[in-house]
Amino acid sequence: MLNSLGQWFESLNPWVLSHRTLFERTLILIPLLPLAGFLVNALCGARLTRRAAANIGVFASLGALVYSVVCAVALTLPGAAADTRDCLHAVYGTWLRSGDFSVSFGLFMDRLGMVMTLIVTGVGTVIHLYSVGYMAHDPGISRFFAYMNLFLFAMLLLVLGDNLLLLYVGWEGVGLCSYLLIGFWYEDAKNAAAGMKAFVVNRIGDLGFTLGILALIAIFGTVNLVARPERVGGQRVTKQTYLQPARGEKSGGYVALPREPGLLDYGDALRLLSNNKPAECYVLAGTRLPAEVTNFDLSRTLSARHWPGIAITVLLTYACVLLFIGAIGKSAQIPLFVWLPDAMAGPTPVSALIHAATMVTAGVYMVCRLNGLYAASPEALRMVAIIGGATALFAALMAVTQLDIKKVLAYSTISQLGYMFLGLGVGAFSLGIFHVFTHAFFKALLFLCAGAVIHALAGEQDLRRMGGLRKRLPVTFWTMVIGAAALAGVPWLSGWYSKDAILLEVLARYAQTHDRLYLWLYAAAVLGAFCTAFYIARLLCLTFLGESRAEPEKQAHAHEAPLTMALPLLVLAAFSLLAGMVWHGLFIPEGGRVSGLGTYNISAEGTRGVERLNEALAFAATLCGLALAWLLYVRKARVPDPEAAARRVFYRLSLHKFYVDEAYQAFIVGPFVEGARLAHWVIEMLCIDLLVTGTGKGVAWLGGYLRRLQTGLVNFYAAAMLLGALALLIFLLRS
Amino acid sequence: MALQTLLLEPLLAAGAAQPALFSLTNCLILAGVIFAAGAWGVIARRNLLVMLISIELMLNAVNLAFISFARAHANLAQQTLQPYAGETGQLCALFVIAIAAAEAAVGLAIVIALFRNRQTVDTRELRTLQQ
Repeated sequence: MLNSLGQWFESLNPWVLSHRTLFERTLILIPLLPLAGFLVNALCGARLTRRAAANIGVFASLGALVYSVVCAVALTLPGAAADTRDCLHAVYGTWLRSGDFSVSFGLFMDRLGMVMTLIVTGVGTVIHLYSVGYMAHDPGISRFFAYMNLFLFAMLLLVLGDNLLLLYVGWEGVGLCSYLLIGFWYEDAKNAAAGMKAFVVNRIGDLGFTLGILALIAIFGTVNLVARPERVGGQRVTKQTYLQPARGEKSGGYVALPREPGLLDYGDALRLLSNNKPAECYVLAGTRLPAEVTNFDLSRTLSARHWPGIAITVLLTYACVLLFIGAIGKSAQIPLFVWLPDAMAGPTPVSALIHAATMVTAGVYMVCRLNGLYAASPEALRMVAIIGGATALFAALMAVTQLDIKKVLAYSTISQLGYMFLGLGVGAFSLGIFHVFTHAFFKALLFLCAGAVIHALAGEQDLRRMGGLRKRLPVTFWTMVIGAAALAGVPWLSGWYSKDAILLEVLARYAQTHDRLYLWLYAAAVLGAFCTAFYIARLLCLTFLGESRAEPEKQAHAHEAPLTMALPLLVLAAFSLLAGMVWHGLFIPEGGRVSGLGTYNISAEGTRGVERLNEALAFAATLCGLALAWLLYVRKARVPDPEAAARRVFYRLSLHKFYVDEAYQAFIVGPFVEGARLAHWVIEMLCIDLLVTGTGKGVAWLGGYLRRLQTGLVNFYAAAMLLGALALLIFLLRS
Repeated sequence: MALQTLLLEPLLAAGAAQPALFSLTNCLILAGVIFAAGAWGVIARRNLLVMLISIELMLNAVNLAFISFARAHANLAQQTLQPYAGETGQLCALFVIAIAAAEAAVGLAIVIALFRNRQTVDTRELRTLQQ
C-alpha cells in the first residue's frame, strides 16, 4: 500500500515541478490567509455570530496549513535528487533603499523554513480547533480569533522572511500579539499587568536584537539571508540554476555571476572576507571544518568591506551576542525569563500556541538561521551554550515545587528552551530545531490537556485541589500520559530522540575537547532531565491519581472534553508518539555534517564512543525521576504543603523561583519607579505646574488689583480723563 | 480815580512788559482759571446738575480762549497769505457753542431719565458700575 502511495506521489512529480514557479510566486498566500482572517474578525467581529467568528479563525489557519503542505511537497518532491540547499524564493519588491543599502520584501522557504512553517501552521490549526471548544462561552471570541490569526501572520512572516528586517517585523508582531493575548481578559488588572510585563521584558531583549541587526549591517552591508534570484543576460536565474554543476569554476558547484552591490547575503560576505576560501573563515575561528558550508549561496564575487586591524570574528562575535540577547528575551532564557510564568494568566490555548510551540522558539530559529555566523564566532556559541544549560537546570529546579498546573508547564517550557539553546551552543543547529519540533507537539499537548482539566474542574488550577480524575477524564489522562512521557524522555517517543541527541552532542564535545565547561553543562543537563521526569510525573500523579481533593461539586461536574477539544489532543498525542521515530532522519546528520535541513552542524567527531554512556545516563535520569515521583506521590500519597516544608531552604528557594522576581523588583523596577516618581515631582509639579498655574494665578491677582479702578463714580472717571488729557498734552508739548 | 490808580499801579508796575489789560496773555489766563473752576466742579461736586454746569463752564472757557486767539491774530490772513486764517478761531467758537447746546440737551435728558429711575442725582448713589 505504501508502495502504491509512493508511486502516486512520484507521478505528481512532473506536474509539481512544472508548477513550481507558481508555488514560489504565491508563497505570500501562507501568511496572507491568517491576515485576512484577522481583518475580517477585527473589523466585522461585532456583527458576526460566535460560530462564524470561530469558523473564520479556524479556516484561515487551515488554509495556511494546506498551502504550506503544498509548498513543502513542491520543495521536497524531487526526492533523492533534491538538494537540501534548495528553496522556494519569491521577491515581491523593494522595501527600503538608502544609498547602496537596499532591503526588499521577499519570502523564501527552504528546508528549515518548511519545518518551522509546518510546525506553526500545523500546531496552530490544531490549537485553533481546540479554542473553538475552550472559548465557546466567552463573549470576546471574535477578538480572540482575530488576535490568534494576527499572531499566525506575524509568526509566518518571521519564519518565511528572506531578510533579517522582515524577521524582525515578525519578531515584534508576535511580541505584540503575545501582549494582546495574555491580557485578553483585561478587566482583571492582574492579567493586564502580566501582559505588560511580557512585552516590556521582551522589549529589553529586542534592544539587543536591534543593535545586532545594526552591527550586521555595519559589517556586511546587507540583511539578506539568502541570495536573490535575478535576471542575467535576459534569463531569470534562481538557486535552481546554481545547482547546475559548474564548468571550470571551482566554487562548490555554483556558477559565479556578477551582482549589483547591496544584494549580498551573509554567506557571500563571509566567503569574500576570507578571500574566497570559506574554510579559512572557519579556521580563523579555531574550529576545524571541511570546506562545505551549505546554508548560504556562495556564488557571487564582489568587492567587500574592509575593517583594518580588527579580526572579522571579533565583530561577528559582538553581532552574534547582541542578536542572542534578543533571543534571550523572546525565548525566556536566564535572565529574561520572568515574563513566561506570568504569561499563564492568558487563556490556555494562548499558552499552548505562543508560549510553548511557536513564539518562544523564534529565538532558536533565528540562531539556527544564522548558523553560519554563529559557527564563525565560537565565543558567541559558548555564551549560548552556557545560558542554555543554566536555564535548562534552573528552570527545571523551579518547576519541581510549583503548585499551579500551568506554572509547572511554564517552567518546563523555559527549561526545554534551555535544552534547545544548549544544542545550538555546541554547534548542533539542526538538533535544536529537532527539539523545537518535538517540543511543539508534546508541550502543546500538555498545555491543552491542562486546559481540559481546568475546563472540567470549572477553573481550578491548584494542584493541591485536584486528584482522582483518571476515571472521569480518560482521553485527557491517556493523552497527557503520552505527552508527559515524551517530555520525560521515555525511549522511542519523540522527546527521547531529540533530547538524547542533544545530550550526546554535549558529552561528545567534552570527550573531544576535554573542556570542563561541557562537562558541567552535561551534568546540568542530566540533572535537569532528572528533574523534568520528576516534576512531570508529579504533575500527573497529583492531577489524575489518588483521592480527589477538589471541592465536591467541582468533582461531581468534572466531564470529559467535547470533541472539538478532544480531537486536537488525539492528533497531538499521535505526533508526540511517532514524530521522533518517523522524522529523526531529517534532523540528525547521518555520516556527514549536513543535516536534512541544510544546516551545517559543527558537531564533534568521534561520537561513537560515548553513545552508550549517554544513553545509559539519560535513561537512568529519566527512570530515577519517574520512580521518585511515583514513590512520593503514589506510594506515600503526599500532597504539596508549602507551609510545612517551608523550613527546608531548597524547597523555599525553588518555590519562590530563587527570588529572581523579588530581586528584579528590588534592584531594577523599584529604583526605576522611584526615579519616575521623583521626575514627576520635580519636572511636572515644580516646573510645569508652577509655570502654568502660576501664570494663571498671577494674571488673576493683577486683575484683582486693577479692579479697584472701576469705582462706578462718575467724578473719578472725569478726573481720570482729565489726567490723561494732561499727560498727553505734556507729552506733545515736550516732543 | 484814586482807587483805580491804587489798584492798577501795582499791575502796571509788575507787568511793565504788558501793554494793556486786554492782552492775549491776560485773556488766556482768565480762560484757564475759568476752565480750572469748571474742572474742579466736575471732579469734586456730587450733584449731576452742578457737574453739567461745570462742563458748560469748561466749554465757555475754551470758547474764550478761541476768541482771544482770533482777536489777537486778526491780521494772520495778511501775514501768512492764507485766506481765513484769522477767522478760524471764531469759526471754532461757533462750533463749540452749537455742540455745547446739543450736549447740554442730551446731558439734561440723561439726568432726567436717571432721576425718574433712581430718584436721585447724587453721584455717590449712582454706582451700579462699580466692580
